[in-house]
Amino acid sequence: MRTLDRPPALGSLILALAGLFLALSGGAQEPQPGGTLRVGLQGDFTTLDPHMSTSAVDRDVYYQLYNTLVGLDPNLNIVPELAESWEQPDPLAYVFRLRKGVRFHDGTDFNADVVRWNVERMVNPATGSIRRSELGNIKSVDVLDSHAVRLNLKEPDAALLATLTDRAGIMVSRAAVEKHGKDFARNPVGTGPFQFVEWVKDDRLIVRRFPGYWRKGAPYLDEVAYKPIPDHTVKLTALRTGTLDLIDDLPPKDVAPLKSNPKLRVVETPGLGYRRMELNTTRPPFNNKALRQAVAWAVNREAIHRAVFFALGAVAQGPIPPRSWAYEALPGYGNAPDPARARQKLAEGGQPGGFKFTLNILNTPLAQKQAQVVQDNLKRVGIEMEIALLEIGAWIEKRKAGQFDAAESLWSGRPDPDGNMFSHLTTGGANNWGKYSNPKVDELLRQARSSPSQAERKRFYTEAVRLLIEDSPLVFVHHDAWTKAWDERVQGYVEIPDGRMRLERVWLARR
Amino acid sequence: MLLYLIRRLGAMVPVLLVVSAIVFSLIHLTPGDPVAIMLREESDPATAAALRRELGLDRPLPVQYLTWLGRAARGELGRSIRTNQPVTEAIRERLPVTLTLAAAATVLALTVALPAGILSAVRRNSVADVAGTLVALSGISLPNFWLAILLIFLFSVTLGWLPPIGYVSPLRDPWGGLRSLVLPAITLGTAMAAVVMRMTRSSLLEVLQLDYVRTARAKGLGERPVLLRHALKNALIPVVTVVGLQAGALLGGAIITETIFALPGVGRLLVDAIFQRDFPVVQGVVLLLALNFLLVNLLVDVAYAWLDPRIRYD
Repeated sequence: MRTLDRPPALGSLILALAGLFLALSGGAQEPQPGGTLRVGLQGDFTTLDPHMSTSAVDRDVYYQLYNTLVGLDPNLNIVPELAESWEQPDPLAYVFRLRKGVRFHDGTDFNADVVRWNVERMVNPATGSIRRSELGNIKSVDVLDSHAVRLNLKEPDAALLATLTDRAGIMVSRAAVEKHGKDFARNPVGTGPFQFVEWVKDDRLIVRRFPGYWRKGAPYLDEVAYKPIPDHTVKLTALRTGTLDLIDDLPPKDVAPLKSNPKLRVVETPGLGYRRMELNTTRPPFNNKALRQAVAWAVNREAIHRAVFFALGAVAQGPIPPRSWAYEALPGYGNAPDPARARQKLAEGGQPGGFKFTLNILNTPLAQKQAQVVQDNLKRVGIEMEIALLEIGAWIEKRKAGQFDAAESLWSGRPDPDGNMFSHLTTGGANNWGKYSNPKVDELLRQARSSPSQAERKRFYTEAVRLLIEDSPLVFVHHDAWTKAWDERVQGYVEIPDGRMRLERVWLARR
Repeated sequence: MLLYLIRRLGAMVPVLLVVSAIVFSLIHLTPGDPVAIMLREESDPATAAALRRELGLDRPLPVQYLTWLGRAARGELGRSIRTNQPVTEAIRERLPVTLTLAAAATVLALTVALPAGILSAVRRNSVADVAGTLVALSGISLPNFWLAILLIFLFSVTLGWLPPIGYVSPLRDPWGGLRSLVLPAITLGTAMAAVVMRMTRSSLLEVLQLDYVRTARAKGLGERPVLLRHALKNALIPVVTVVGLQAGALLGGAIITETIFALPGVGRLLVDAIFQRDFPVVQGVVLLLALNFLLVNLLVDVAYAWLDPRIRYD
């Protein structure tokens, strides 16, 4: 775990002694080096160049091939990784002191010049990197000495560190990019615990232990072999028959039966995202606030949580998940539906007899089941909801063009609440498809972004969420949980709240 | 015959042109923009526009088509929008898998269907015939994804004999390759076997009624030589047609089987590319499948000439 590179403290000493005691008493679980971990994933990777990646599943291999400037621990704290320490001499600057003695897989040195080059690569429009918008606030990078850089910002940005735990903080080898050009995407070189071996698309991706890794003693595994398996049932079967060791993304219905299998371990972690119905505020019916609120009152979140998600995760009343430091439990529209209030809002909105609209959903089993429950909920108060099942291209197109009444989607979530809210809910935000606009919310989110005090930020977010609940441009439904399952041989796997695999500390027990 | 072959090969070109034009139009006119799909969760309009420009997606459709056509004629099928991998390389990686799977399925289907069909025809209305017919009917009716899951449950989970997923190249590891192909081949081959069996049966029954067969019997020939030397070759002509059509369809239609068994085949490549509007990949793969279909049909026509000496091409 990341905390092990901090100087030893009393706690660690006690733990070490306890470990020694356990070892001597024969109940030890000493990490055993060696072995190949076979991982089954929901989908295949799209690119091995993190600066060009637009798919979250890519990160399941990135954290093995690469390191980020800063990391994330299980409690959502920012911890050192390639940067040993950092400070803010003023609100518009971050100074990072970089770890010494780190080398890339191709032998080149990791230093301040490399960091500057990486950031400039992402920010340069010619690269066409999607990270450009994530690092849009960076004005320039100064190299202070061989292992110190200074990021100069345009505006104060409290969410920057969280962004740097993701792909925007990944440092790639400059030499490799200059050598391979575009083909770097299939010939990745990083500083991570594993180095790239081969990638046969839709079949396998193999990475092997990097002996020169800067964290001594890690990784334990010799090799990790990833396999994309689109069918959930088959993926699960492969785990049960011992063809795979670790799998991701279990359908909620499969979690409980799997837990009763003594040979397997299952973990569910509260996620960072939320499911919501985006309402199009530019045209009827949802340009009418009362009607939006009517829908929000009628939805039975508790039933959805139990029937669709088998009680995994949590009901959502806002965009901030319960595990976030910024979370404040607000009553919102309640876990149970309130048909009386819903009807009252219908009357207020001038549609006492109800109204009709269409919900666009993607073709996934969970989205379909959830939509069916919502349809039933709304029928009870006289609202007729038609479900339009669309394939991904058409669904995106309609949303982009504003040709929708409501669209259901899952936002996978970011470690900082800014990532869950800013671009979705500010006027003209890139992800604000329903074109919601409230200057008070804009101001609150902007202030939350620039404030240096976490306590103050939380106050801004709480106030913003209160306004959002009132305006109801999004009907919040559910916070999904990340699920992973693995064979009992797999040891040392710790789930980080962003749901992406870190396999540095994983080892395989002998049978 | 040679002239015939050359003419047929030449005739393929206009067909391929028309196919590619139709596919191009369909995929481009379907709502959905590959850049928007790629950049789904994060969207900076400037980045999207730059990406579109770089991929040549902002140019008028006819220009895009002609550009693609010009490159395709030189054997360059472009690069995947999604992964930037050259399309020819993507196809080259996947084609052996699909071909192996299709071949295995065809061999399995024919091994089962031909003897079964012949037996059914020869012992018409017997128990064997009725049983064969029932099995054939279920083979056609069973949805193959259901069959696949059933096979996995039986042979992988319960009995533990075969792996549930994955492809191992038979060239690299013959035994492992065989084991990994059994379940997918059964899944894919079942429907084909059923159709071929029925076709063989009815065709053979018809031929056995013909005059020349009666003559052969009258000459005192035993049933076996009558069947094998005289009747079967002619009976197989419609069967060959069916096998040809089915085999051609197998290459593109193995999608469900490939998805369930996690096989890196051409079918999966195509379906994913359609959903992602990965135009170069879609066009490249469809071109390949069309070419393949044409070649299989050519083979079928050549086979006719071998089976029935009365058929002559000039």
